Amino acid sequence: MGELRCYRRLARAALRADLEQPRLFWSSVACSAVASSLELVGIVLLLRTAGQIGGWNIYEVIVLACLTYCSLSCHGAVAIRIYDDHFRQLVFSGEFAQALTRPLRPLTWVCGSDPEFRVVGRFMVSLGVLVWATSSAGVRWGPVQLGLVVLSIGCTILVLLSISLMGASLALRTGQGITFTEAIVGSGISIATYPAQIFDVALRMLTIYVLPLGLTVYVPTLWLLGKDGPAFVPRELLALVPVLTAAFLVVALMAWGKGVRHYLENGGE
Amino acid sequence: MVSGLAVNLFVGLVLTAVYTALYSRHESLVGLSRADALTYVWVLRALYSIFYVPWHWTIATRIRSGELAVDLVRPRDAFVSLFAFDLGRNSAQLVWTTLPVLVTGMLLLPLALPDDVLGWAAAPISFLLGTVLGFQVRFLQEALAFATPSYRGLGRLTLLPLYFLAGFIVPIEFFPAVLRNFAEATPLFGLLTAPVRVVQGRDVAWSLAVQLVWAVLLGLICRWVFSRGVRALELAGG
Repeated sequence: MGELRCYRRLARAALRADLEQPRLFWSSVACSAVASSLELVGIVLLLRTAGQIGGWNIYEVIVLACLTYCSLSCHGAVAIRIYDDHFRQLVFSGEFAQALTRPLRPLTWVCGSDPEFRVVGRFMVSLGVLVWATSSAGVRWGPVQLGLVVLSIGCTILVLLSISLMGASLALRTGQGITFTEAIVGSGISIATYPAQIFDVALRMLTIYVLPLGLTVYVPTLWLLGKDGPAFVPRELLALVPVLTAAFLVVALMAWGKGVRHYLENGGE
Repeated sequence: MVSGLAVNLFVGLVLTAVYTALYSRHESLVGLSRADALTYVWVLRALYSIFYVPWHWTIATRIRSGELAVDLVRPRDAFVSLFAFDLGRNSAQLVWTTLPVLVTGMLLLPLALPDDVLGWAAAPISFLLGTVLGFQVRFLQEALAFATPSYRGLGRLTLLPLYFLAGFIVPIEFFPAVLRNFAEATPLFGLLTAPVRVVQGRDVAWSLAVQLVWAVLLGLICRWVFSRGVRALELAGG
């Protein structure tokens, strides 16, 4: 509870600092909104001509993409400092040692010291388009549908956070690892944006059972749209979504803990 | 470098699956065959690291920090130095990233490739011209730092629309007619679409000519912007 309160205070301070440069902040918010919009426009342009992909129409694919982008933006807000090059710099410069001397968990300090608020633009656009696309796909909103969206976004954020933690723990051991995170997240996002049946079985299995980004986005979407999944990805896997997410997070937290214990300061002034 | 290469290859395979699925019920879409679309995917992945460079904003940072003053007192042209630095690093990328990605795509998939020596000779020239144009587009964004400390926000705001118009998200052939004509009339055409067409063997001479004309024109514009910026630059401290 104390950790959460500290995180909130750090985040509030970071927001105030961001708002000290309003032009930069709001242009960055607009930029993240434009980024999301253009990625969605890209999907629309492709599917407008082809009509469908893997038996999914334009609205259904947009639902998948929006769930992915909503989760990606929330993950960016919370964990950008263990995801981007900033963390490698922390390790290289020895500044990470500060995290170990503070009366906070290192993870809370790293994530809370500079959350990325500009991604609110991406989130708002994705959420707005998600509501529009689900309605256009014939989904009738109710508590179940809302629960599925919350489950999907929540679990996808946790999976993305887990990948970032694994990359960060690698960085704590080797000084590298952020490229690994970017690679896994980038590829995972590309896959989660499209229906699983267009990928071959090996890739499908990898993103459902090993790196469960496909599982957390695709399976809840099957229920949301009332569709059946392809081979090896039945919609009954929904029950596995929170279980596999939790397991993935536990493994990542263990890796992070080991990384922190292994960390040796690289110097300082 | 290895992980960057692995990412390019992996994303290339993912995009290949996407375009293959798109073409599953069509022989051709917007005038592009499946082979053309796959060629687009692999040239895109091959050239991605040429345009989306990790040293983006280096020039802007030097301008705002005042480090540019050091470049200006050196006994060589500062703008040419910046250009040479970018071209040198990107030429290495062409060898270490572009070539392996493209060769992998060629070996694994039925791409639309040149069928004569001239076609093969035109491809590296087009890539190089694309690299030059990439520097010039980035430079104009970074030159915002001469005018405002909020250059990064403005630059980010323009970055994605520019890459979208250049065809980095979907091929410009998929754009509505008005947008496609507009994209073809800008220098952004030379970043990706022209190299893709040269590799596909479509409009080779025209694509190269357009790239060359834009490279010269943008070169002059960049030079002018740099001299104006340097003249107006005020640095304090030491």
